[in-house]
Amino acid sequence: MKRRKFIQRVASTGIVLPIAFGFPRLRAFGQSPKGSPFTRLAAAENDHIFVIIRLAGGHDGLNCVVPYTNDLYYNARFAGTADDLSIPASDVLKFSGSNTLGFHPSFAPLLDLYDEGKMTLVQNVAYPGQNLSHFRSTDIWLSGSDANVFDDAGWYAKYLEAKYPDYPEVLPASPFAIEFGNFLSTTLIGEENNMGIAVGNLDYIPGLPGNDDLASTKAGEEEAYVREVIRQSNIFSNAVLSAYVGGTDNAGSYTTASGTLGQGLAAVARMISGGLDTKMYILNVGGYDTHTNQLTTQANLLSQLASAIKEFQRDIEALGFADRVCAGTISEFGRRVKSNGTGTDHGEAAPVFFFGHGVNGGIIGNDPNLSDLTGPGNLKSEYDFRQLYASILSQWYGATEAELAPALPHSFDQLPIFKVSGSGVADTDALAAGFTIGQNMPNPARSRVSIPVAGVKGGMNARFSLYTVEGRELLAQPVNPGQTSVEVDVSKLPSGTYVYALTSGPLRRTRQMVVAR
Amino acid sequence: MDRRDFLTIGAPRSREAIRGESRGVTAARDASQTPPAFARRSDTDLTTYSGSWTYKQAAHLLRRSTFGPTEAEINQAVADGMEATIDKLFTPWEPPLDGIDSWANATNFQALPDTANGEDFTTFQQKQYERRDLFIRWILLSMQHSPVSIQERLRLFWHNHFTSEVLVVNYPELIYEQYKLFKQHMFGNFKEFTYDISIDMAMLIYLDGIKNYKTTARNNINENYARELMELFTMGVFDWEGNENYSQDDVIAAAHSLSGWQYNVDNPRNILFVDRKAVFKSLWWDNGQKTLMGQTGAWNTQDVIDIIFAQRGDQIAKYICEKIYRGFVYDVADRVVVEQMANAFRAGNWELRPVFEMLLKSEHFYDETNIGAMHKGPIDYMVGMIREMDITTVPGLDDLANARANRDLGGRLQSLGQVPYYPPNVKGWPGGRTWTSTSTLPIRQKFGIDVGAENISLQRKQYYLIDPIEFAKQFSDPYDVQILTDEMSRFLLNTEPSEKEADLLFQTILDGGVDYEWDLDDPNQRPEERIRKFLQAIAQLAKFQLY
Repeated sequence: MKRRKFIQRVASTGIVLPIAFGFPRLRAFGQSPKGSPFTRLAAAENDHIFVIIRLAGGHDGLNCVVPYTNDLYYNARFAGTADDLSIPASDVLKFSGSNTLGFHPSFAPLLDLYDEGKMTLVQNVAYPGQNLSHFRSTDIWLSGSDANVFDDAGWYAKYLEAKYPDYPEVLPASPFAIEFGNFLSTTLIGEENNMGIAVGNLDYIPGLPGNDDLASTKAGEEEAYVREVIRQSNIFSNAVLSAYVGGTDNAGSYTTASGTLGQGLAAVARMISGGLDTKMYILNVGGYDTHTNQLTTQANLLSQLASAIKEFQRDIEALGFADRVCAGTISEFGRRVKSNGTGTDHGEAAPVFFFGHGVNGGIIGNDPNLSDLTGPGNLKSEYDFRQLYASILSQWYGATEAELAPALPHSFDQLPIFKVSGSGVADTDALAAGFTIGQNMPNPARSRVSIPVAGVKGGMNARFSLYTVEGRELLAQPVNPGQTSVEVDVSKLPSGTYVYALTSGPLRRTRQMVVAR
Repeated sequence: MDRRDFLTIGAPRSREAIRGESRGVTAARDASQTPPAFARRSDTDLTTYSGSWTYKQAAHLLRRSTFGPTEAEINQAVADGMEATIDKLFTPWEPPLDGIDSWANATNFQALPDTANGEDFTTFQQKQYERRDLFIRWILLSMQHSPVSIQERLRLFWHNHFTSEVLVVNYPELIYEQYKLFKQHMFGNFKEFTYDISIDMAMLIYLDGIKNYKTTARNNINENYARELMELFTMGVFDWEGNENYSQDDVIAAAHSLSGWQYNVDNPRNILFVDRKAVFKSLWWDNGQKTLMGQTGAWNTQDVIDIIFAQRGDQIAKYICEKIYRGFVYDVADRVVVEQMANAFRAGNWELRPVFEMLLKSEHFYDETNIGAMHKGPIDYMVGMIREMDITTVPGLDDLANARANRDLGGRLQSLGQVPYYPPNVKGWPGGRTWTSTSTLPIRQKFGIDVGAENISLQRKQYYLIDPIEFAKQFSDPYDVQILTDEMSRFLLNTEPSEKEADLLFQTILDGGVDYEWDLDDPNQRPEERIRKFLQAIAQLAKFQLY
């Protein structure tokens, strides 16, 4: 009788959100999250959120972070010919911390974030054993597997599966992860279970789940799968819709330039503001496969990316949870150094971008080396993409070494992408004081490092200090007015992560240093 | 060898096939809901099926090879038998050119606005958009009005193999030409098919073949098509043992060899495509020596096809047969069966029809475990329902005057992710379980609600109209509510409903009444409303998502 009523009511009301999540029937399937093992576990975890923006198609790093002093780049991109595919040195956006690299003009909105230390760029990232197939490369990036291993479970899902063995018998109050669209990436598909949900049009209602006995056939197995999807859809749509409806809608403040990506990020901000505890969001943007017509296509795509990220950052800052949210881009590969006349074919290494209050800012890694190429003329990688995943899990989500193990096939050195959480050294509003401290070079550190500083004036009594992540001071030295860099020898320090700071009275600005050798 | 072992050795290419047995089942929560151990493997193979031929087998054959067979078609197939039904399936037909007749078969067409006659760009573009929309409508109409023929199912299958996107190709005239090519080769010779698609205008535009050229002045070799030809269209990146099927050098060599195909334009006006076919311009072709898969020569496109089919015949046969298997039997390929198919495919010199027929007549195809085990894609689901429930008014389809203004069906297909010629990327729709997600299921179920409803107001007040009484009258005894329920369930579900489901459906149609008072002719018994509720309820079942 209940089911009949349900159908009747839905049929007569059509598409109405409150009906969808106001329905008492939903409780019959979802256990109350209060007091469940899940919430106890979750309490031990931080409240950080990561947003993955996937640039599908393989993005061209060279035109994005342009080595504008390198003739090899301009030769490879046919500068000065009718097929010129390069970004002229006069057009690139130069930024502090490099005299050789500049951003694509479309990245203009991101310059502020970079200057505020809210953007980290990791150079030359790829996976070892480049295959050049979109689909195979995407599988590898999304799963975190080695290139010669076919793994249909993803790094984040495996991390979650190990951490929450009771799932899905006990479902969390909010889905662990949300991917926008109809399909779930491998990243969110575990060995046994889907660890995230796909969210498309939020305006549709959930339907009736079945719970009958199943035939012991392939058909029965697929039916079990459908039923589980229906069950989760019913339970999670409640949480997602409540947060979405109850959240702050700032979508109108995103510009047209930010496009559908901006609208997607606005929805993410809205759901977070509505209290959704989801830990990861994935958004996919296509079109980066620029075999032809690259100049126009790339300019539009980068403009959308930069505008959307900038506006999202400002949105979450205004909403007051910017400390909890970081974002990053991934793409299956970079593109060929040499132009094919109208575009670029599939390549290998490319830069990856991270954004948010939680990142250290600056550049990690060397400028791309255009005189030492691999395969059919592709950039060699300096970092394995799993180093990024390890850094996200450990530095951002606070995963222990034991928790990292199930997620990735090996142990990977981390990169100083995020400020270490739980550090004893807190940041104060140093921007107000007008002084800044840059990222150590080289990065990661080996022996001697140079750290740029700026804005130190007379009477500030500024001081440079290096700490362990627990906050124990290892060394300190004064910084004089007008000084532009601090030189430090870390050759005696063991490999690991450290924090350094520029302090003046109550004001302090911190960054993180990774020592690796 | 144990098939379970066989299935997991090597490095299979599809993610489903990789893990074979281990793909997660997620339903277990408490003892009462623990699913049984699923029998994933069976001992059946391509031996010709000689078991009983009943409603179940006939319905299975038609559901997999057409879209939403009707009760009458299924009953006819039961009467005709397997052989005769399959003969009928392999009969091409000519869909009427509803809405596209003015341009579909014209020899030439304009590629740019006809400025000489005062046409501006906006007008031209609007015309292109209109043709594009009406072409997609025509594809759906062809599916809706198809007789018992595998043609439309196969065209969609090949479209999802030799993929293209209308937004990239831009010219509906060329897309239509490609769709005709799919009909020409749909169960013909795969090698000839591959050659023809390699010089198909839409494909040359879609994967940059026309940008791939080498002249004395320019060296614009573009690898896009060469890579996908090998990776997606013929052999895949890896063979079953995990070895790479080709190298980057092979991709480059193939790209050079495939160069030289260009638009056939009517110079000097330069605005007409002639014959809709590409022309080979030897001055734009790289006539140098190329080494492809160990073979060196001044290769051209035909040579590339000859070389890859000769050098990688085993891999191509397995790759294509695995795809056919996954398109018609189950999403996880049984490689014992696929290998049998592949052997026949090569022995038959790349003829497709014998492979399809062998599969559709096999014990394996009619194996109980495979019936109802495939996930309906959005087109299977929507077009299937339109045909099964005999929806007489479909917003966006049947009324040409309003077809572009009210695209409700197209909108729903779009939100589910499957509009013809709008695949997600060159790999096409991944299918299988990806169709079923927390995002798509509510939309699908909502469609069932809307179709069953008497008065759901859509855009411009058009409805999906069904006639529940006429629907019921096609069954053997619509005046006996139990028989009617059983037969409607048998017709709309692909596996038998469980006891609970059967009870739910029966209670739904009883609607608080008693069975002996049911009377199809008595409006006081509200038979129409109760059948609508039944149809809405059945569309909520998990089984309804499978076929």
